Amino acid sequence: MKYFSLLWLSLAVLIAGCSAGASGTLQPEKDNYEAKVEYHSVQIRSKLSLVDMRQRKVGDLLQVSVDLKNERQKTIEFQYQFRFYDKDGFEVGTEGRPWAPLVIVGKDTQTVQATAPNPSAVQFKIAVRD
Amino acid sequence: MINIKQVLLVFLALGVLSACSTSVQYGDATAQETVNTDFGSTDLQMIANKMVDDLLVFPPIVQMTQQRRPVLFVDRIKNKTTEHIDLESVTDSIQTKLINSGKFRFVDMTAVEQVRKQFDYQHQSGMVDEQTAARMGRQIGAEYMLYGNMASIVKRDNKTKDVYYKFTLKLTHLESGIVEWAGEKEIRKTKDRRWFGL
Repeated sequence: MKYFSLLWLSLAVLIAGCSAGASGTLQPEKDNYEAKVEYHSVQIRSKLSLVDMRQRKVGDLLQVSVDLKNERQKTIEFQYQFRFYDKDGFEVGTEGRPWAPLVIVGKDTQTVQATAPNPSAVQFKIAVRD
Repeated sequence: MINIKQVLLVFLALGVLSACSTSVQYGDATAQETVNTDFGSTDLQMIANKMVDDLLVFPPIVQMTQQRRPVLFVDRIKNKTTEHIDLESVTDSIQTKLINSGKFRFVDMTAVEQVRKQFDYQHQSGMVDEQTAARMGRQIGAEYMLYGNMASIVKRDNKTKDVYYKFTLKLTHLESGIVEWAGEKEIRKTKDRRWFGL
């Protein structure tokens, strides 16, 4: 009976460990969020903050999603651009990803997302400017 | 002694010269373009990116492209707007991004006539070694067709012009006729007329 309990316990620990590994590996650490944003001015940095981000592999392509919060009471208009990098830090698919306009009303949060241009992309950054 | 007439003439000459000066600069091709509310480069790039992003992460497409690279062809996009828009340039951007994703291959229907001429040259001119000539009847048929349309609604009054664009793209399986995927991108642009910055 004791052996059975031990067996179940080991199995449960093993399953928990596996699931944490599968879902946790790709997510960026909260402390690392600021490194993912490139603010192009002090003004935009004071108005906008990155409150959450998620990333996953869809097939073999990296898909990212970023929550941006307007810290002001007033509506803000700005532009953002996603940039993807391969494992060696080279930018992937440099052509044609535009500075997309975005409007966020006061104190609201909006999610923006993008998919990597090809499977070699493993890292990303989001640039924001006025 | 310089009189006031001469001073005025100098200022007038400087004004004319500065009004005539021109300059040429290179700019960022991905920068937001808001010269007017007409369809512009930012709209084109946003549409192409949205379509490609949506298509590449659609679960049945992810599954389909895991083991093989399906062959597509691009049909024309119907322009239902009142503007003259080069929509081939939108589909060119989409095609380029899809090819570079490594997930799809394309047959180029815009190059059929040039390919036929090259075949004629290789097989009928007597100039090309037959052993190196491209063999006829071995081209790969497209499995899917990309097509769509672009519509707009324009409203205006004395102060404001509001333009709404809707771009729709579909991927249809040629043999079965089933639409496997459809994507949509909406864009709204508003222009306000302001007097003296107010």
